[in-house]
Amino acid sequence: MEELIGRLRKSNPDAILEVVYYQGETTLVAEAGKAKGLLRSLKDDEGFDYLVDVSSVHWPEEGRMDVVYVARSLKTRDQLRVRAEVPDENPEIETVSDVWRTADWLEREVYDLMGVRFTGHPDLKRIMLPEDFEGHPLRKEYPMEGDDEWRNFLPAENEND
Amino acid sequence: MGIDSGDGLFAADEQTRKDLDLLKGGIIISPLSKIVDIARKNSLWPMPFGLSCCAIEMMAMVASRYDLARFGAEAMRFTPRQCDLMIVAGTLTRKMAPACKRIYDQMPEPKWVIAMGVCTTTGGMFNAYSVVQGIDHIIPVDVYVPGCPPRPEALIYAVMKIQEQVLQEKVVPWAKRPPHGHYRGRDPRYAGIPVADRGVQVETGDPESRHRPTWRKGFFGG
Repeated sequence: MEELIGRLRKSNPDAILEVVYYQGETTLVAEAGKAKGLLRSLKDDEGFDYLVDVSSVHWPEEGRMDVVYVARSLKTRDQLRVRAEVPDENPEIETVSDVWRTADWLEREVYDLMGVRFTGHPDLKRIMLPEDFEGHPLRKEYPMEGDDEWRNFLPAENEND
Repeated sequence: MGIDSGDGLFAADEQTRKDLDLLKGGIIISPLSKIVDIARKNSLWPMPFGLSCCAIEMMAMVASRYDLARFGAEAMRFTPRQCDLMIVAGTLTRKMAPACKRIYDQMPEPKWVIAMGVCTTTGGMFNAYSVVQGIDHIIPVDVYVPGCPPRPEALIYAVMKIQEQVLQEKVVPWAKRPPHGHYRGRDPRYAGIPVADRGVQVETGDPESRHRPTWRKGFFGG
C-alpha cells in the first residue's frame, strides 16, 4: 500500500493532501480539483477496477462537505478510500462517471440527497426522490420536522382544535 | 323438470310451487336502497393496495385460515375499475402517493377505503421527509386499522365496519349527489384538487370526521 501511494504521489503531484490509516483502512485526502486525476490513475494504472460507492458527509460546523469514493481492486482485493473536501455552500466536483460507468447513478444519489453538483455528469437529476422535491434532505441544515420540512408537516387547515 | 304454471313463476318441485302460490298476491315492501345496500354489503370487491408488511397480513386474511370469503369480499381484483373497496396496506411514500390517488380516482363509485396499519394511517414510525403522514392527506378514509401490522382479525373487523357503513348508504339520484369535497391534506401538489367524496350520501354524525387527521403534532404530549 505504501508503494502504491508513492506511485500515486509521483503520477499526481500535490493531489494527495494527507493519508489516514485507521482500523486497517486507508484513506487518501485528495485535493478536490485533482481528485479526478487521482481516481483515474487508480483505475487505469493501479487496477482499481471497481468503484464500490460514492457518498458524502456534511460537516456544517466546518462548512465543508466530503465526497467519499471507495474503490476496490478485484485482482489484489485492495480497498482504498479517497476523500475530497468541497465547501458546503454550492458544493461542486468533477464527475468520475467517465472513469467508472457505475459512478453515474452513485453520483446522482449523492446529488439527490446531499446536493453536490458533479460537473460534466451526463444526466444529473434526482434518482430516488420525486422530481418536484425541494431541497436535499440528508444535508444537516434540512430540518427533521417543522415548518421548513416537506409540507407534510405543515398544520392542516382544519387543525385548530 | 320444473313446473311452469304459465304465470312467470317457475318452481323446481311441488313444495316450492306451493310456497310460490302463498306469495301470490302478497307484496314485499322495502326501500330500494335497502336491497341495494344488502347486495353491496355482501359483495365487496377489494382493491389490494399492498405496500409493505401489512400486505402479508392482508393476504393472510384472504387465505384459508381467516377466510374473507365468509364475508363475501374475497374476490380481490388488481384493476381499480372492478373494485369498490380499497385496502391501503403499508407505508405510503411520497413518490407512491400520486399512484395511490390515481388508482383511487379510477375506482367506480360508490367506493370505500380502509387505511390498514399505522404507517398508512399516520406515517407511523416513518416520521420523515419521504413518507406521507397518513393517506387521509390524499384520499378520504372510512376505517382506520391500528397495528403494526394489524392482525387479520383486525382487518376482518374493519371489513365488517365497512359493511355496516354500506348498510347506511342512501341511493340518491346521481345529479343530487353531495358536492365533491376538496383536498384537505398538506401535500402542495394536490392543493385545491377536488377529492371525490363518497358516491352516495352517508348519514353519519359528523361528515367531516373522515377527513380529520388522526395524528397531530403534540398529540401524545410530544
